Amino acid sequence: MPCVLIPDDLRTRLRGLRFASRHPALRQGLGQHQGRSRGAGLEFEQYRAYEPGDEPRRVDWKLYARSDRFFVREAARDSPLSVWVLLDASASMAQADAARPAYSKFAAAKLLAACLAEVATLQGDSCGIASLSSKGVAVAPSGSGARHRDRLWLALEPMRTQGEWPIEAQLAPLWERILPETVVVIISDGLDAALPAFAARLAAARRQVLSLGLISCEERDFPFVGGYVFVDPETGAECRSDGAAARAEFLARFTAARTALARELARCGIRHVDHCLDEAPDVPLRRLLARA
Amino acid sequence: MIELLAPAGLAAAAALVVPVIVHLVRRSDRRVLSFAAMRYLRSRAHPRARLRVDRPLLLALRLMLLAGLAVLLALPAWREHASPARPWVVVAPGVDALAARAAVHAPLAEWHRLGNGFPPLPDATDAAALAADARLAAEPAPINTLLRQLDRDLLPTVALTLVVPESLADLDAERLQLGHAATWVPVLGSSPVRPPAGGAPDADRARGIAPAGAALRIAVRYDAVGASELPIVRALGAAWAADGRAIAWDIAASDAPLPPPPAWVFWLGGAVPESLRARTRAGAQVLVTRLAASCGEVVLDSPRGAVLRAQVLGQGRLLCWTDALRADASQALVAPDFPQRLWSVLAAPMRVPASAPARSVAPLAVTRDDFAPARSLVPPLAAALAALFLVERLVATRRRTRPAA
Repeated sequence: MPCVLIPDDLRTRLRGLRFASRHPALRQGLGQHQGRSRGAGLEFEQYRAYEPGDEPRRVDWKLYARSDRFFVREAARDSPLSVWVLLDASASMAQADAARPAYSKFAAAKLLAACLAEVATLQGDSCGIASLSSKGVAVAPSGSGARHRDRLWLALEPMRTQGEWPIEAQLAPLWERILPETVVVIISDGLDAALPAFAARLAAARRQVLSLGLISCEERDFPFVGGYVFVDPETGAECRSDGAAARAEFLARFTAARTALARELARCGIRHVDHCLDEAPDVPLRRLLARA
Repeated sequence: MIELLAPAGLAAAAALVVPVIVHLVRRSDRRVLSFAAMRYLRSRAHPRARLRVDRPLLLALRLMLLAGLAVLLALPAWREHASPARPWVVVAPGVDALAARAAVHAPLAEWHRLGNGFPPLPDATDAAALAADARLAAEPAPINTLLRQLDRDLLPTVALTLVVPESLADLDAERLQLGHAATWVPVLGSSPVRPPAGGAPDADRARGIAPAGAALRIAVRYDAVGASELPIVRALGAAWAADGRAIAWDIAASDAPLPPPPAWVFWLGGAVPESLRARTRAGAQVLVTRLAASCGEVVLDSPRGAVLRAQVLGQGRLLCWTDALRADASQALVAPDFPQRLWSVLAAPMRVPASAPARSVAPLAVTRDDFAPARSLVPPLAAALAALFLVERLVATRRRTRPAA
């Protein structure tokens, strides 16, 4: 199936990216990540004393010859990783630049989610995607393999922005699906006040949480000159202002708010990366997935 | 020289206001923008209310386009500009050449006599030419016709000075209108007049003057005061009868009906009724006594002043006797030749005014556009405007390099 979501050059640049879990994976099966399950495998982990019930073929007979005791050779098994991508689908994510009206924040978020699914699939991990909005939480269940990746891409297509950040009860299905030890990537605009608390709760339960904050060029540069009526897409509140006059104060407050968000997330051990819409999508991913 | 054939079209220039308003309004309009990070914004009003024009180049193009359209509606035309020429002084018949030269100081001008071919006016040095010109000045000439011909033939830039006698004859019914700038200089004198061609029998008959052999009818109507004037009327009748004039008198009170025209009416009944005025306008001759008319031509006077004035009413004549028609009221009545003088006034043929004061018939200035053919500038202007419109469209639809500001 041709990939319509990810341009070819971007897909090429994604090959160098890898998810790295800080937590040993719990999942059964063969993967590329350091797992907690021990047993038969390629890489030596430890010797332990023989216990009744161990398979005779796992006894290290050469060591028995030297020490006259039964030792069982154990290897660390590389386990697959589970990745969840959570998309903020609140109405504020529809923000787009006047220079590139079709490329909204949510479109960028979909592209980044598709990239993450691609990266996870390339390294054999399972991936799931959910979009979060007060009008409903859409979940594309976790799975692995190229066909599942295509299913995820298809599931991304109908997702739309609406409403606000969901309330706690609406997020309940996520807690059942996102198990501990998984990697959770939250892609949002960072403008919803409930986001840091949600991320902190996820991180507190042994999940590795990564946060991608999307910033439009107009929010970064504030290029407006002349009279404007600024309307909040979620609450409908209006603010009449002159672009040039309000620029300096807006930029100061916006930058301070982004810094505060990054600091609050970092306090919970969450890596936060800001992404401007005019950057290449692999740049923030590279920073996000870089090994600490 | 560009001139506008329909200057009212320039009123369309009022439309120039529209693009100015459009460009200003677009400037002051606040744009509505969905902005997710609005919570970090503080409301800031405009720093100052300043009228600023959006896209001044486009505005200038649009203003030029509209102004051009207004000029186009005014139908511009190109007319060759004629070079200034020597002014002309034209002297009408009835004015002596030397008197005209004394009245008008125009050393550079060409002097001409108003006559066939507009012969040049001689100066004081040429006695023979002066004598010929004096003969020409004594001949009657159709002044208006000659002036119209001059107005048509002369170059439009020639300034005219017209020296005319104060009393102008040989005018026609239409007021003179000249396209040239003309100075009208009446000097002392009067136009030569043709000898009268003889009375018109139709007019005489209408006024009651009977052909030879028939009796003239005179209707006399009197009221209580007028009855005292009847003796004079009878005396007049006796005097005229003695002169051999056949007159049929019809003397009655003022409420008696008047005989059918033609007949003279002597109205001794005070105020003139409207029916009598209507009869006068239809062509009758009416003598009214005790009516101090302030206007009218004095036709009979005495050492004490005017006693009889004639007012022309329509086709007839109203003769107003100022005092009562009694010997004790007017000295003129007792003069021995009074009946003859009154008869000559009453029987005099009515004259059409043959002359007029020159000041009252000064030519009117009109704008004439048939001096030289004007070349219409509408097609080239329309082409230029079409090109301007294309440029305007190009500028208006050009991709803007910077965001709307």
